[in-house]
Amino acid sequence: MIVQPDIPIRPIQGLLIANRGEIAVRITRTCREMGIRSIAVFSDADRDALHVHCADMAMHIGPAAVKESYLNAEAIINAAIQSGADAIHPGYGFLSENAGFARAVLEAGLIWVGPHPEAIEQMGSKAQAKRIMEEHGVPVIPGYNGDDQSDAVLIKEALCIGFPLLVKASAGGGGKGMVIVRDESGLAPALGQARREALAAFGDERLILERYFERVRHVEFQIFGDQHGNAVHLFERECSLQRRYQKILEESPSPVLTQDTRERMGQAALNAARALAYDNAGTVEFILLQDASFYFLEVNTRLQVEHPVTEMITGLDLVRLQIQSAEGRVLELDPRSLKQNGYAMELRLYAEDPASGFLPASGELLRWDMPRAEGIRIDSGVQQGSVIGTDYDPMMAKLIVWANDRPEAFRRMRYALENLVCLGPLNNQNFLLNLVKQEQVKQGEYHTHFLDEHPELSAEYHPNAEEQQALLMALSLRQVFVDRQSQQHFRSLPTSWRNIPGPASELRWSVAGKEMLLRYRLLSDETAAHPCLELLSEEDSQRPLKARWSGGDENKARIQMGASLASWVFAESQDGLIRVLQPGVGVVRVLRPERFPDPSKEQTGGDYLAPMPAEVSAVLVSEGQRVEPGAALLVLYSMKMEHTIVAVQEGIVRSLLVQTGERVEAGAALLELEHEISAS
Amino acid sequence: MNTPLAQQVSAPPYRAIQSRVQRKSAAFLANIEANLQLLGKLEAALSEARFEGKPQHLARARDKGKLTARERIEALLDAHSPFLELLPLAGMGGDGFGPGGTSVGGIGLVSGRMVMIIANVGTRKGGAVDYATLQKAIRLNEISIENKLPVISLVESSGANLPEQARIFNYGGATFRDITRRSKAGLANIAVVFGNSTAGGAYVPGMSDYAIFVDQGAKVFLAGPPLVKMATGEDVDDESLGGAAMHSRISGVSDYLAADELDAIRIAREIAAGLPHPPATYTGSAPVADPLYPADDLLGLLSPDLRKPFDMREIIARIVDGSRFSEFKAEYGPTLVCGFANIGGYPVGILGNNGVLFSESANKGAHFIQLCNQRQHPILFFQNITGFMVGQEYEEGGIIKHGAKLINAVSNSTVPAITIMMGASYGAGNYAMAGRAYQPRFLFSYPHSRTAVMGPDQLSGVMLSIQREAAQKMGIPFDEEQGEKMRDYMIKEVEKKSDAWYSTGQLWDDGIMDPRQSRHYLSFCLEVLYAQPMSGSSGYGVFRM
Repeated sequence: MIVQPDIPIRPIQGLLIANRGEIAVRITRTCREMGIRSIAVFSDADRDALHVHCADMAMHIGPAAVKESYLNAEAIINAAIQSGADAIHPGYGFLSENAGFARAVLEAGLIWVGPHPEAIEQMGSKAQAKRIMEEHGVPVIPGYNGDDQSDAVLIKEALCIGFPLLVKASAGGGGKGMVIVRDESGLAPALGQARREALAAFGDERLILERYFERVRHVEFQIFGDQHGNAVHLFERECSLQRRYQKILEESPSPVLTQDTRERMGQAALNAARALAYDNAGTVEFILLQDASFYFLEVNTRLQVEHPVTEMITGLDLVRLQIQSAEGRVLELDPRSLKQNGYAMELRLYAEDPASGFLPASGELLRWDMPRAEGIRIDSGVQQGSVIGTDYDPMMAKLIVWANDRPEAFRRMRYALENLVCLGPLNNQNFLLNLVKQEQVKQGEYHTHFLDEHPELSAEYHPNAEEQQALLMALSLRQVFVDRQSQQHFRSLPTSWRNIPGPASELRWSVAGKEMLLRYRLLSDETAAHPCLELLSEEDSQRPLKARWSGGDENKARIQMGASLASWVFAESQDGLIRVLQPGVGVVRVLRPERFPDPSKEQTGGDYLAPMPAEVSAVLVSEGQRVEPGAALLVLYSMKMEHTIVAVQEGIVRSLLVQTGERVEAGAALLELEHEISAS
Repeated sequence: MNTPLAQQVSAPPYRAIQSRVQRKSAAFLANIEANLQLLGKLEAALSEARFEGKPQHLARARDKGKLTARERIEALLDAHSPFLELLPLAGMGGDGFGPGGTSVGGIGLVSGRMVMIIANVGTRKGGAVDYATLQKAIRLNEISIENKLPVISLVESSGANLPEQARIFNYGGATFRDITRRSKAGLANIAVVFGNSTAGGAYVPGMSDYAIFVDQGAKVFLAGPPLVKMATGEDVDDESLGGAAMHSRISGVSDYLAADELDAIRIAREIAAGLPHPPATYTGSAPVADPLYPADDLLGLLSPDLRKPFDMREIIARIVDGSRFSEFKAEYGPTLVCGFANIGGYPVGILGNNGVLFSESANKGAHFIQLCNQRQHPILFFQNITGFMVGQEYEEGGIIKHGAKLINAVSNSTVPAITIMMGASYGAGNYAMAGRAYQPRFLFSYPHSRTAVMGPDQLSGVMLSIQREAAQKMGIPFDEEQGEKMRDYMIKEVEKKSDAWYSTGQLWDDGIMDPRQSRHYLSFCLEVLYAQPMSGSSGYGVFRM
C-alpha cells in the first residue's frame, strides 16, 4: 500500500451530482449514508423527476435540451458554487468523460469525483488510447487511426485491414457513429453515415477503422485507483448481450472465463490503469475470442451503468470508494483479499419497443411497483407518475440480483421480472423475461450479436390460446366492473339486466393489433354493490371457463380463473390503451376499440409517419423524385440514434412535409409518396 | 379502492317475514311444473316477438351497413346498462303483425340518463305500423310523459299499414301530439332517422327537438317519388327529394348529418349527455340486502289454479329487501295485507290480497293508501282478488260504501303506483286494487293471471241462469242441453279473453313477467319513479262513512 503524505485529505461536505435518472438517485443514496449533503441538478423537463425528490436540495440548470442543461458545464459549475457544494460527481454519460469539464471543475476549486483530466483526455481519443495501450503491452485490434481522414485514405486502409470492418467515431462510444462494413461496396455510404452520427453525437466527425470480429464476447474489468498510486482490478463483468451496441445484460463472474484468462486480462487491465496513473473508478473493455485471446477495446474513465454487478459480488460501494479517492484518501483494497463472492447479474429496463428494433418509447409511467425481496436490488430513476420524455436516455431502471450461483440468480431475476409492475410506455420487460428464460442465455452460450440472431426474443406478445382467453376474460371482467362503478342508476340490479333475455354479451378487444371478441354471460346474480361476477366464455363450449372478480379495483384485481386465483395489474390511459400485467405471462397491451369509431378519421395511404418524436437530420429526396422500394427517404435523429425512413413501395414523392433540422412528433406525416397503380 | 371482505348491506329495521314454505309438498312441486310450462309459453311468445325479419331481409339490411332495431338499441345504451322492455307482446293473438308489432320500446340508460327508447323494426314489414304498434306507441308515450322520460326514437318505418288505415288514422295523430307535449314539458325528443320515414312518419323527426339523419339511409318526405309523379308529374329521385344530405344542408329538417348508423347513435348519445339530470336523484342506498328466501320459490308458491289461495306474505318475503316487512293492521281485515318495505333500497307501501275483500279490509286499504300519500311512498298493488264479499250480511254491513272508499282512495292517490297481476283480478276488486283504468305507472302480469269482470265459472253460470229466467218469463221451455253447450262455450270464451296472453295482447298490461324477476322489475321501475319528486294527495272525494 503506497501512501503519499503530501496529498491532503479534503472531506467532502456537499456533493453536486451533475446527472439525472437512476445514477443520480443512486449517488444520492451513498451521500446520505456518508453524511454528505447531496445536490441534484435539473432541467425544465425534470422539475418533478425522482432524482430531484431524492436529493437534499436541487438546482435548476436550464431548459430540457441537454446542450443547455446537463451538458452545460458553466451552468453546472455555477450551480455547485451557488449551492455551496465542494465537489461534483458527473455520474455516467453527459459530461462524465469530458476532460475540459473536469478541468473547469478543478479550476473552480471544487473536487472532481473521477479520474484526473489527463487520463480522461488520453482515453477520450480512441486512436490515442490504442497507442498508449499498445505501448504498455495490452493487445489491440488491428486498424487505422490516422489523421488523414480523406475517403481515399480511409478506403485504402480499409482494404489493408480486410473485411468485415468496423467504421466508428474516433470520439465515440456506446455504439453511436458505428457501422459494420462487410465488403468494399458498403464502405462509402458507411463513412457518410458514421461521420454524420459522429458529428451529431460528439461534435467531431473523425473516424477510425478496425478489424471486425464476428461472434466475440464483451468482457470488461473494473479498475480502481487512488491518488497515492494504488490500483486494483475488481474482476470482470461480461456484457456480451447487447442490442444496438448497448448492453442489456451484465454479469459477473463471466460464464466462460477461466481463472487463467481472468488473471491475464486482469493484469492487462491493471497495466492500463498504471499506464494512466489512474486514480478513480474506470473500466477496461476487451473483446474475448473463442480461443481465449482478447483485445483492448477502450477505457471508460467513469463509473459504469453496470457497476452494481461488481458491487454485489465484492460487497463494495463503488460510489463511496470514488468519493473517498477524490477526497485524497488511500484506498485500502488489498488485491489478495478481494474475492468474487457468488454471482450477480443486471438487466436494464428501457422504455423502448423491442418489436420494432428497440425504438425508444415515451409516455407516462402509469403503474410502477418494484418487487422487494432478498437478493434483489433495483436502481430506479423513475416512480409512478414519472413521464418518460424524449429528451434523455430511455433507461428507467436496472434490475440487479445476487445469488450463490448463476442458475439461482436466473431464477431470482425471473421472479423479479415477473413481479415488477411497469405499466405505461412501451418497454422491454417482456423481452427481458424472454431473455432470462432462453436456454442458451441460461447456459451462457452467447456473443455480442446473439440478439440479432434471435429476433423471436423481441417479438410481441404471442400468448397461447388459453392465456389469450384468460386475458380477454380478465379484461372483460374489469370492464364490467368499471362500467358498473360509473353507473349512477340501477345499482341494485344485475349488470346488463334485461327483462327479456337477449343474445350473449360481447366485448371487443384489440390485442397486439389483432381484433378479438369475447362473448360472455353473467352467471350469478351479482350487482354493482357486489363486484363479484362470473363470465362464461362461449368460445369453447367444451371447456367453459369461469372467471370471478374476487375483489380489487380497475388498477389491481384478484381474479379467479377456474381454480386458480391470481393478481392482475392494469393501467389504462385516456386513449383507451390498457396495459395488463398478466400473471405468468408478462405485460400485454390491449386497445379497447372505440364503440363509435370516428368516421372522419380515414386512413391516409402513402404517408410516411415519424415512428417517434425526433429531429429530421437529413432529407434525402426531393419532390417529384421517383423512388425504388427500400430507398432511403429521410433520416431522423432521436434519442441519440439515427433512423432511416425507407420507401416501402415504388412511387413518386408528391410532397415533402418536413425539412432538415425540424423537430417532429410521433405520428407526424413526413412526406407523401404517390404509389403508381400498376395495371393488373 | 379495496373491497372490504364483508359488505355492509342496508335493509329497513323491520322484522323479517318468516316463511312457512313446504318445498317438498305435492302442491309446491305441482305448481313449479305448471308454472314452468307457462314460462315456456312465455319464452316462445317472446322469441316470436324478437323476430326482426326473414334472414334474406336481415342479410340485405346488413349488406347496406344497417343494424337491426335491437342492435341499434344495444349500441345506443350505455355499456352494461339494464333495459326494461315494455309491451313486448302487444298485439299477441290479434290480427296484426304478431306479438310486439313492428316496434321495440323500453327504458334504459343513455349517457347516464334514463330515457325511453322507441325503435321501429324496419326489417319487419318495412316497419309499417299496425294497430297494435300504434297502441303500443301511444302507451309508451304515456309512460314517458308520466315518468318524465326523454325519448329517443330510432326511426325506420314505411308508415301506417294501409289496409288497417281506418283503425289507425285518427288515433295515429296522438303520437305526434305527444312529441310536442313532451317537448313543452321540458323533455327532449331525439329522433334518429335510419331509413324511410314517409308521410305521417316524417313528422316524427319533424316534430322532434333534435333530428339526426343517417347519410344515404334516411329518406324523409311527405310523399315519395311515385306519389309526387302522380300528383305533379315531377320526376325526382328519393335522395334529392328527402335524403339526409338534402335535409341537413337545404331544408334544415335534419340537425345532424351522420356518416353512418353508428355515427348517428354516437350523436344521439352526445345529445343525451348534455340533457339535465332528473330533479330527484334519490338512489337506493346500495348495497341492499337481498330477500332471505330465493325467488325460485315463487314458482312453487303461486298456483296457476286460481281457486287455490296463497299467502301474499310469502310472495312479499321473496321480493322486498331482507324480506323485511312492517305490516299495518295485521290483525284487522286480514284479507288485505298492508305494510311498508323497501325494494332496491326504495321505500314503498304494499297492498296485497289474501282473499276476498270485506268491509274491514276495504277500510284498512283506504286508510293505508292515505298513509302512503302522507309518507310520499309509491304504492305497490299485488292483485289476487276475486272481488268484494257478497251476501245479505255484507250488504247490510255496507260493503258497497266501504268498497267505494277504497276506490276513492285509489283514484285520488297522487303517489305513483305499480300493479302486478299475481292471480285473479275480477270485478270491482280490479278497480279497488289499481287495475288498468286507475292508471298505475306500470302494470305487469304473471303468466297465470286472469283479468275479467268475474271468473269464467261464475260468469257462465250467471249467463245460464239469466237465459233460463228469460225463457221462463216468455213461457218457452228451456233447452238444458243447449244451455250446457252455451255454458261451455262461455267458459272457454271468458277463459280465453281473460288470460294474461289476451290481456297483454290488448295492452291491458305493460308486459308479462317471469315471477322470479319481480324484484328486478320493481326495483327498476322504482328507480324511474324516484327520479322525480312525488307528493302525496292533498284531498280525496267524499269518503262515505
